[in-house]
Amino acid sequence: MAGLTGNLTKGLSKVGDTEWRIAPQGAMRVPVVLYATEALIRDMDEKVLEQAANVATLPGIVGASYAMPDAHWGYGFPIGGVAAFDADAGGVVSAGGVGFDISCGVRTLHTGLDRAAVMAVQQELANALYDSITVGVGSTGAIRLDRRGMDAMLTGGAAWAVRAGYGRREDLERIEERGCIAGADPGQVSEHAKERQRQEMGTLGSGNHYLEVQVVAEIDDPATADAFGLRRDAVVVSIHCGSRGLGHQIGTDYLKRMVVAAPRHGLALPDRDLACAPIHSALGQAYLGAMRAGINCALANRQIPTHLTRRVFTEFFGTDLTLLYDVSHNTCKLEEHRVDGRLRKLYVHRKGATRAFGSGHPDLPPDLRDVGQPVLIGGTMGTASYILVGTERGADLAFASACHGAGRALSRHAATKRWHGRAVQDELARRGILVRSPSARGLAEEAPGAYKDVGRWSRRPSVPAWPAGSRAWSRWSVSRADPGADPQRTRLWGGQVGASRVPGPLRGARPSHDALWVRRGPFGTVQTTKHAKGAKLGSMDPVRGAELSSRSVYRSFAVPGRRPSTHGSSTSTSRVFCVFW
Amino acid sequence: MNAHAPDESNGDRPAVPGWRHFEHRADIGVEGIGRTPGEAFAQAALALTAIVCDPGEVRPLRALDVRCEEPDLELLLVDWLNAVIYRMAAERMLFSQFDVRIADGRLQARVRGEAVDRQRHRPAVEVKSATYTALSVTRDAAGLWSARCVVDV
Repeated sequence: MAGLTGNLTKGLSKVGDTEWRIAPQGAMRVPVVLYATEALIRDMDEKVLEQAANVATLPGIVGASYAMPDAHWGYGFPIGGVAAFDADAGGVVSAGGVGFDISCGVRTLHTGLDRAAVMAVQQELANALYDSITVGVGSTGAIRLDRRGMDAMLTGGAAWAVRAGYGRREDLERIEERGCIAGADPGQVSEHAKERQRQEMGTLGSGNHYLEVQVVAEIDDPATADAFGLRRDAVVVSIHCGSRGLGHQIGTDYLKRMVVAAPRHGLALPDRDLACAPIHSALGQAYLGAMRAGINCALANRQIPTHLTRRVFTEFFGTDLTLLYDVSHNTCKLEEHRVDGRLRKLYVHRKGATRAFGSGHPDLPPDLRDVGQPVLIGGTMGTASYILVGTERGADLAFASACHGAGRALSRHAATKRWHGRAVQDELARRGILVRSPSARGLAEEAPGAYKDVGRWSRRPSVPAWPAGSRAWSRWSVSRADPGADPQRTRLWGGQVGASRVPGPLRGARPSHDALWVRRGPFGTVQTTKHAKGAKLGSMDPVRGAELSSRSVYRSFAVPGRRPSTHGSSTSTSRVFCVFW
Repeated sequence: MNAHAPDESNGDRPAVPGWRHFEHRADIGVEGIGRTPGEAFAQAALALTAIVCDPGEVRPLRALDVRCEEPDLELLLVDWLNAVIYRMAAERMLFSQFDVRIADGRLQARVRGEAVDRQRHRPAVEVKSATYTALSVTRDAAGLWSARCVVDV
């Protein structure tokens, strides 16, 4: 494979500011297209190219094998891989192309509260949420489903949960597929999968799954933000979890069945994790039925912590939470896309990628149809998350897909060697971010520094970072905040007096806005430094080198084919509050 | 582009029988070393437990039997680890002792452990599935068996 990888790297050519391409070679049926800045490409694992090229060899693939800016080494498909297949052209469906956590996704809820109201009871609210939401390894939910209830959940999705009292009807309008994907077949889901789920309904899980209370820190496109009901200083709640044990077991079961059946289907797989089956085969149809049941399970599952969170907020504030949107990022969905001027029905695999429909798409709820789909991108527990919007242009790029999150920069093992969980928790607490978690090691593995920066930074202000397929831009946004307003900035620009340095790659760069940098001095004092727009960053400016290492600075996202401009829209939500998994 | 070079995170080869983790950017690899395939498989399962918690904290209070059958050792390793993962999830247990026998593509095992105690075990992360990534079951010149693959967490 080393030779192949070497050839692939040599064959990588830049075809736009943020678009890279490898022409078909060997068994590849279509090109590989990567969307990323040059810096991201430099840091990208070579395995991404190899895996994306392997995907390009699969039968019936249409257009290209795409990799999003946050792509990294997965199994079979890269994480951040997008590929579409035409069933009538011998196309395949791949269990590895969806992943084990089927329909893992993010939802964001409006609270109607502002930061001050929530911060007044920060500790108490964090504790109440932690007591209410089931989280961590070995946790069990309060719901026990019998056989009939399980099948009803797997066919009904979020609509089942609403009928069962977990949510309300208007939630469904703000969930992809209106909360329930058609074609789910619980009969194709193994008893093992159902058994794994029986005690896990409504649980968040572990790893990078979370519930967070966040504050809107910055708005780049007021009109879109307004349409989404977002305003600066508003508090939102975001939930990241998936289909739990049921999805994991469906992935396990069908990956094996597809590996074993591949020779019978005439498939010579370059990698067993690429296991797939023709869409028109019995196995392909069985997997689609089971995988759709997994999607419904995830949609139902996210309703339950939503319901429990609503109860807590009602108790504390007498307010109700409304759903902004719910996106999934591990799926295969049958969608219509225009390819070479012709409308085609395609099975679009998104593995670690978010659907990002532009305005006018008929699948969007009526009140968002003129705006576009909210695209929810989770950051780490110490960095901002982003709410973006799909664009019409994105439909021509990677089948209306965007990145899905930060993506790991360090392995779990490397993270635990570098950080200790409780120290991570203490450090976040110093910045005003409360974390509640059952596991110290889990905290270390998920430390903010273990992830790529989700999009705030680019090397120079003149090269903003763009989330793929979405209208957004990232910039030098360290500025303009009053010292106490944004712990996110306090984190980035905080540090102990005398211990700070601007990391090498940032020296000489010029922020595009007037900056008011905030740092915490000794004994809780807050110190600020004014920095004029365009002035060079000096080597002794109050930046914590340890946190803004060159590794994390460049991790940001690029939009396919879009040129940077100044009219983008993104809304960042700083995590000021609680994270737990 | 960063070339992929597996980082043997536990350093040198472990004692025999023994296990180690190897690095994968998003997930984690497990490797068991033993004098027989069965011993290597048992150690790989111990490495699986070590992803979640310290295996030394898991008491062998309850025994379960596990059986798998596959035409080759690599598929058998994935099957075996997935059988252990299923038992961990369905029984809400962690395991610390694995007696594994392999003959003619058939695996028979007795696994021992106890129910998850979130206070004592402090489980860090749950394991979703064993994958076919970096999968190999090999025997070296000294006759030692290695069984390894990446698991999704």
